[in-house]
Amino acid sequence: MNTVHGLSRRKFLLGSGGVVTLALAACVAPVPAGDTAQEAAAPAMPEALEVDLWHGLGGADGKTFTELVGQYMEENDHVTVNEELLTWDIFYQKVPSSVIAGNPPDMIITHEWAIGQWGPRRVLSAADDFYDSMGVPRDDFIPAVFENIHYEGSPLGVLLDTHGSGGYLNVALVEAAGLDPAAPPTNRTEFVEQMSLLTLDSQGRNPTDAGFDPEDIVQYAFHSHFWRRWAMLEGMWQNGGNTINEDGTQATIDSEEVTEALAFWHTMVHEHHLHAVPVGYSMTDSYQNNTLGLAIAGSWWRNFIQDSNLVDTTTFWRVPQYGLVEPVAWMSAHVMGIPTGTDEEGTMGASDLIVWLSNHGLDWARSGQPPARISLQNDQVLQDHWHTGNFGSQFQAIGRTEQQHANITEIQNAYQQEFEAVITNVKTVSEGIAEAQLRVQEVLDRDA
Amino acid sequence: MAATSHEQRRVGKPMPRWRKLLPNYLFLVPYFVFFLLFLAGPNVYGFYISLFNWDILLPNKPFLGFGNYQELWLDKLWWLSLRNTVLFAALTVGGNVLLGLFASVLVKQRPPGHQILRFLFYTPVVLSVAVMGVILARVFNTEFGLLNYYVDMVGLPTQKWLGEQRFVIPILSLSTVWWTFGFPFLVFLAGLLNIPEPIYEAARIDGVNRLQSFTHITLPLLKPVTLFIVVTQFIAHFKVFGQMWIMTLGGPGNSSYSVVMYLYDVGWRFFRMGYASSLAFGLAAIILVVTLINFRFLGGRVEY
Repeated sequence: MNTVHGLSRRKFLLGSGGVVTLALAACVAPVPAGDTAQEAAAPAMPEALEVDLWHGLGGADGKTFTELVGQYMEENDHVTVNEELLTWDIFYQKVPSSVIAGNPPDMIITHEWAIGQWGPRRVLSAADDFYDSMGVPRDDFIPAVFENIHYEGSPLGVLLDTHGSGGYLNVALVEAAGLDPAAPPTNRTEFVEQMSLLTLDSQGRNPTDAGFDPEDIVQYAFHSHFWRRWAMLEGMWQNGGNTINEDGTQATIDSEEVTEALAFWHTMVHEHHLHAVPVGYSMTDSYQNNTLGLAIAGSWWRNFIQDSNLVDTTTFWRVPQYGLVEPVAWMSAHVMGIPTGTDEEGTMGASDLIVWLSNHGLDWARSGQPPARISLQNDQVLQDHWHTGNFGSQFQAIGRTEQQHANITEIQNAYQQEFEAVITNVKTVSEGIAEAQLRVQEVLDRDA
Repeated sequence: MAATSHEQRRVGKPMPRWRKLLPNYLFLVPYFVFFLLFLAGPNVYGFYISLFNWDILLPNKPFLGFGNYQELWLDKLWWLSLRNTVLFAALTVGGNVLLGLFASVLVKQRPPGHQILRFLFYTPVVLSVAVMGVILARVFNTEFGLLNYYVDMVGLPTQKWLGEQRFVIPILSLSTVWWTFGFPFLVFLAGLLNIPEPIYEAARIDGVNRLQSFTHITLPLLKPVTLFIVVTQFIAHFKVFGQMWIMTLGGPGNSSYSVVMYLYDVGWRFFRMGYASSLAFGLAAIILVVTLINFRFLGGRVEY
């Protein structure tokens, strides 16, 4: 009989097979905790918990969030929250990678607009339990925002805030131009008239003055921070247009509404000289240096305004209506969710932190982000605040979210690149519109 | 008797060739394993992925055959990003070779302060792309940039440097040359120091002037070094990403959108790993062709 060091071949093969079987069994992908942990009876809270939290709150609002997490850990000394701050770009590639690898964090904070692409890709667990048994009220959120975080009938997380764009007005510059900060423009004509008084060349001339030198502008009237995204959306929405139709099957970029909006934007930059050519221009530098009249920026700018000692010279304006149909401001939200594959203990810790953060919306509002819950948004102290109360009221009145789609990032990228080419004079309006329409339609058709 | 013949065999018969070579190959095994696991394997797998509609998160990954490559052929954005990349790489490699060569010749003459020059020329190389990108984005900023400050000071019209299509690739290229020419400089300097001095002395005796000596001796003898620099620099700059990502985000209007930026978008922002893999193989094919062309023109044998 053939033996291996005294072991029979049969025994050796049997033993090896057993070892391999065990090894393979150990390699089986873990069952997503989202399906099991939440269905099981709630186990007792362990004595010590660690919660791995990934987010991208690295802007001016980030320091408030870290303070808030510290406050949570002080109140719950058995919990350690391991915050990992990532840039949003890295965040959006690391989260899916971690889910595929079966090693996701216990909790993430993502954006409302991203739920459309997370949903079909099963990145986040359903979050019905928060509303059914953990006391988060379903009816205390702006309906359009809350609706947008649903996939197949279930919410995929809990809203942390409602954020978006709004106007930061340099009061001194506006008054110096002879305008009244308390009387914002209400239509396109008024908007162009008022803003024309805010743009100045080095000789102090406005674009409507004789001899104005567009190559020597030292002060612009306004600028939109994420202009590729919000400004373009707000422009087309204010005209009654959109990027895609309601069921997400047709690109609607070549509509009259969107074409007119883009053409008007081009005019504002190159004919009225109200807005700088956006590439290579720093809006924050300009606003800090008093060479920008109106900054359309995010609600998370509150800490930046405070830290730059600009509170006394800044007041809030709603996003001005320069479109032809109605005023609209872009809004979105941060969503707290539990990734698919998070283990039971992680889910338990994350759930507790999510509920705590949801209940502490007023504390989070210190960052400038209006709380997600309408009841907190309407809190009198918040309403009286020059910044956050106004942002909240604006979102309730004229806020609008982007339409969800499984490939929303690719759709955004397609039309934003083409629109930028128009605004920077690389393409004409009709070329940009035609190309954007084609590219977005290709994305829609691919997954039809 | 038998023992004697055995000993004769041991002493008289040479060791088989394979046994002689075995230790050499065994020394190569660790590298070969890593090569297979981390280079060849992922490449083969990447090509496999490129044959599918491979959404990283969706369970259904339909087989497309060469469908992704067909899409690539018809993709305007691929051709646009390739054009930008080729232009950037050509300008940057050209700038690096010329500046690197000039600087190395200068330092080889050992002018006063040549050690400080050597230090200054190489220092930018140690910066990360993020640091370089942020610094130079500030320099070229339209409103508050250092360049426009000096342009304005001398009475010239200020420019939207990174905001204009005609400037953006040359500026990105110029920035990259400043950042990276220290490496070609160092390699050229080593090559120059390797050229035997008697060759120059003999030429001088024969009445050859400095320019002739440079064009007829230095440049031909630097051919292997030049080939090395051109090939490695082309490969490096065809993969440009960070400068553009930080300084322009590919703008204005995709004028500085590179192939690797496109690949990153497709793979990691749109989750289309299959198509991203086909982009990667498309770029690899272009790099291979450019490398072969470089070998054809610069790869001659040099003897001295």
